[in-house]
Amino acid sequence: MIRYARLAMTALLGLATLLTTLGAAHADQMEKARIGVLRLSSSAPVFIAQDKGYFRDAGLEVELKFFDAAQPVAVATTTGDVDVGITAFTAGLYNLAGKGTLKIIAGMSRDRPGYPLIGYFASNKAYEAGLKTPKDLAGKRIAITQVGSSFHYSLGLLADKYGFKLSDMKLVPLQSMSNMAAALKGETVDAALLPVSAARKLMDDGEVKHLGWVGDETPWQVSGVFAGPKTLADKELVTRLLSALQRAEREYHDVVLATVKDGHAAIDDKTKPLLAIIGKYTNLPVEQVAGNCAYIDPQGRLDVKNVDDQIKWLQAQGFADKGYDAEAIIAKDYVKAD
Amino acid sequence: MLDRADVTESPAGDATEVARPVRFRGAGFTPATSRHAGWLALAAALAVWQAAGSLAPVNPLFLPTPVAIARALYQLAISGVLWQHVSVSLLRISAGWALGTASGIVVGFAIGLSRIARSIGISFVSALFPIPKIAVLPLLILWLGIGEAPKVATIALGVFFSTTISVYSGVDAVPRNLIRMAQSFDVPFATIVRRVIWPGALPSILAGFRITASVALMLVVSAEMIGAETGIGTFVLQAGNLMQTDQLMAGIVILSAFGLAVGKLISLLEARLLHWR
Amino acid sequence: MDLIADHISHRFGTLDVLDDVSFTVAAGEVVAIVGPSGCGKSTLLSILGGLLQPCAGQASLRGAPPSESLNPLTFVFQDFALLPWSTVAENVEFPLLHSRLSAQERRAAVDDALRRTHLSDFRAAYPKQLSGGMRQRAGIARALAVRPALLLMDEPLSALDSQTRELLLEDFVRLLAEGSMGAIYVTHNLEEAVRLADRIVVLSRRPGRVRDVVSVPVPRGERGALAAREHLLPLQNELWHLIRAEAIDAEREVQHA
Repeated sequence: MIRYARLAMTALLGLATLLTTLGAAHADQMEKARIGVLRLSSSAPVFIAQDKGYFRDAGLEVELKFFDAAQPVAVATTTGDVDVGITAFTAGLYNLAGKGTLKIIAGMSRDRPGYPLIGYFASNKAYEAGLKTPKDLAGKRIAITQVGSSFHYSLGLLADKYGFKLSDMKLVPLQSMSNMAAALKGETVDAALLPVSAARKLMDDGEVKHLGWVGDETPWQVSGVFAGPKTLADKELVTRLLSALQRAEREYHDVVLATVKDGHAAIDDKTKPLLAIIGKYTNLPVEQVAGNCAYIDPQGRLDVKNVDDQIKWLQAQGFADKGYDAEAIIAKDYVKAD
Repeated sequence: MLDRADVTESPAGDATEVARPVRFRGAGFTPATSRHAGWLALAAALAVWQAAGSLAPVNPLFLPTPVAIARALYQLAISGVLWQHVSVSLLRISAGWALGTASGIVVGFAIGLSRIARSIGISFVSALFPIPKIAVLPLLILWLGIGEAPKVATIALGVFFSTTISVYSGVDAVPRNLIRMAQSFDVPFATIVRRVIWPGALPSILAGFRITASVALMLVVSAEMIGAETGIGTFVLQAGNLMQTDQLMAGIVILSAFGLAVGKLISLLEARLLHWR
Repeated sequence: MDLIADHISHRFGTLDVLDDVSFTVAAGEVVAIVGPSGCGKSTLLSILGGLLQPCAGQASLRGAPPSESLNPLTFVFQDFALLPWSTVAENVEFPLLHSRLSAQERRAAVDDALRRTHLSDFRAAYPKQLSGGMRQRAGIARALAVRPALLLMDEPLSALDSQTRELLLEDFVRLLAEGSMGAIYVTHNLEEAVRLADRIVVLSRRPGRVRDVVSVPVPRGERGALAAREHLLPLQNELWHLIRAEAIDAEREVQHA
């Protein structure tokens, strides 16, 4: 009896496999790809495309490799440990690209008004002393992760916007979020830039004061998709991968981002499955995911002009090597510009 | 009467059985250091490295050539930035090392000499020593802020535990018979500590210095994670963050040079203080 | 100044080492303590010199030590116990540093002690540069420098080879004849005991008890002569006879331990 049941199961499984294969029949064969990514909601489309099988539909067998910082993703892409990397643009990444070891193939998340991602936070003492808005950051001691990081650049944009000099702020590189949070709590810095995920608890406990969001003050292209020379040469692979990503991006944009109001996505029958997928990959409850939605262009476009600005700014600060611009590090065949 | 061999006959001259020399079996296990061989090997390694970088298509990003590193160092030196980094870091290293060493010696002697300090001290040291200093950086920032204090404290902490351990094992290793001898002459406690225990523990303490000096050099990178603008650790961190591998290697070369210099210094100190060994 | 061993007993943990040992060493007297290995001879000496607290009984002194004595009870150790980081002269000066002597007097005392032990030419040498015999001479010089009333000598020759031992033994005879200094001389070597001592305390095997106290008939100053040596040989044999059986038992015991 059991034996027959097993036989039936095997047959069913076989049939299912056959059907799946037929379903992907428009792709000639399954190609393998490894994607390096951080467990952050700013990479939401990657998780959706993987979980809902969009990569598979495009004939790709994708393996996600998780990292805990942006820099190693870029390095792993350079060394070929992953085929494609998705993470924030940093001076380190641009310098790798400037040496020709990787190129940007698409945009990912952006800081944009109405989508809280990175915030300016003040210590209670500094707040009492009159640090109430981002504009007041001039002349203050501000914790950042590293020199040349996206936080550093954000502050540069802020300085430009309000017409003061970057050097008017005393920037304190503390290397890690926990160090920054400790410095802010201990009131040894006046302010810090923190992602909403790291700051929420401090904010709720009344240990820091929220001043504003980078997206509201200075919108910019935060992260992107990039690949090494070997992957870039495989046109078929890149095209399929980007199309699968864009399918997920479109869905994420239309279903989740469309409901965002006051920085929060609605949690309803339509958004919940997607939020649950993001929560699964970022190890966050759905409620928190909904309050932490990164804006992502539905077509995966890249703000090329902003990328060029970033590079120029980093070069001017001495954080990026001279001698290249956005043109040089963007794979024009693939990138859709704004 | 026994027949005796003719003394004039060569012992090897016996035709029936050819005498063979005893095979020498005592070779090896006595490595002698040759100063020139060491330098030559280093030079050869550098040459191969340079050749690999400039001849073969090795991306300079992955392995900057010695020449590139030397160029980076040279540029740092002529711009004056190098001295700024080095002097700031040296100040932190020496302050942290001195603080950690002084307190480590005091606590180490207490553990070595007092029963109460020993029973409390050893468990504390064993419990706290293995904590990675980077893990407690947020706490240090909370307690001490982000000025020089937490940076010096990071280095001092790392040095302190190592020193404590080497000092009390040094005190433990002082031959008991020397202490008994001093007691048998009614030598006062303080004199015994100063003239018997201190010199007796000195070899172990100096060996500890060798380790703690390296620990201090390693920890300067962690220490300068705390909001430092200059310093060799900051420089290395920044070069890593910005993927400027030639600068990164230049920083590492500087740290290595520190390490060599300190090692040399301690050897000199040992030769001076432990000439009686 | 007399030294009195007054019903001394001692144990290490569960191991009885000494059992009710009593005897008196008169001022200026040289007493040898002999006995089989592990009978507690050295333990007894440590107790007598105040380096070890006995479990029962006590060591006591009767009468005042000579006024010039800086350290009435002074040890000479089996392993010399020289500070390896100090020169011979510094080692000899070490016990004088905290004394009431002025620097000049200290120097004179060191010079005198070195001269008496034939070490004047080696004052700047470090212990590791010296032979075993020279090291023990330095140990003796250090003891002499504090002008002891009673030397407590703990197998002072047992770490040395037999030729050096013979030479040093002659030195001991000479030094002990020079002043009014007494000595307790712990040894397992019966010949040394018979050569040096006025009286010999024989301890039993562990736990050590006083088995016998033997007086050596020939005065110390006259034992160098061949005739005297022959005269003393029977005493040495007698002592060996006393100890032998115990030594055999003791050795078995040590092996079991």
